[in-house]
Amino acid sequence: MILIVLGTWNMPFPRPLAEIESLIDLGLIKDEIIVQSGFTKFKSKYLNLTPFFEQTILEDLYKKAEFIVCQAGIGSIMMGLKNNKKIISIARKRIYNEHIDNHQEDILTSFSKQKLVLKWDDKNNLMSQINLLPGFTPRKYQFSEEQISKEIINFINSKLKS
Amino acid sequence: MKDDKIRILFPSSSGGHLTEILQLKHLFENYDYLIITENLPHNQKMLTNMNHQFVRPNGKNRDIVFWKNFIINCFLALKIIIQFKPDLIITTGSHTAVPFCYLGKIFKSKVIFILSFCRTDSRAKSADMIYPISDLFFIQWKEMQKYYKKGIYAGPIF
Repeated sequence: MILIVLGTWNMPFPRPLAEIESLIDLGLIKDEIIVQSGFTKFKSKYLNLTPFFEQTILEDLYKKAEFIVCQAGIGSIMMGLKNNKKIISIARKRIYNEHIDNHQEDILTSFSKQKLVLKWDDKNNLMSQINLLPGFTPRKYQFSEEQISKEIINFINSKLKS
Repeated sequence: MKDDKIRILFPSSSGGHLTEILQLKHLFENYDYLIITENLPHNQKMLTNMNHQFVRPNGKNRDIVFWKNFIINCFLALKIIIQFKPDLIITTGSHTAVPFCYLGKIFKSKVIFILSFCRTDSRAKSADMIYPISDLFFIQWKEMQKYYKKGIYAGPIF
């Protein structure tokens, strides 16, 4: 199963779905596909769109998916990395009215340079990235969320307790 | 051990901002907390089993509806701050967080701003607004120090 995640941002992002639809049409994608479509509406012959899954169900789908195709939003990517998944990611762009700025592009460029995800953009289409998947071993992301929490706990102990 | 004497308020806009706040599990385990975010169906799904309260949602446009909801949220923020009495306000920003930080400051709460991981090389409006009143300001990319001088780098929130 391939999981497609378009995020929670409230502007439509049909571009990836149109591309996937045409690859299914051409018989290039035959896997089962599950889409969390968020605020994107898209008429499809093949795809079943679910706007939002419960958080636990979504995590389960991440675990079960063979690979993830997602918007370059931080939540969508990080959930994939947490579950050690191969990820193909595409940035929402301002010129297409998919976001109010191009920050997804920045994050995606940085993450693909670090070999954490495969970048789907105008130069590298989805099919070429799918073909790269077997030879792509994502770098293991070092989660370090305790660090900020530790700093905050130090602050609480020194400034708020007297 | 839960330290019930310290109360932390986490106001956050929807989306990546909220996802980042939800990484701070150590703080939820250790302190009395309340998450504030925009009332949207997917947020209800994200926050099952977490202490949370909703305020008015605001989309991409800075139109009349935005400002109406923003003003209503200012009143909601005042009510929540008086009721919850936070010692500390921690936020990753955007518009939802701004009234909470300013009103909280008036009521003597400390304010911690964590600049979103998504900001790799540009300023953020809510960060600019909260920067002057923040007691701690975290950046998640070292490069951001050029925009936010007092920014502390303690690694990414993920």
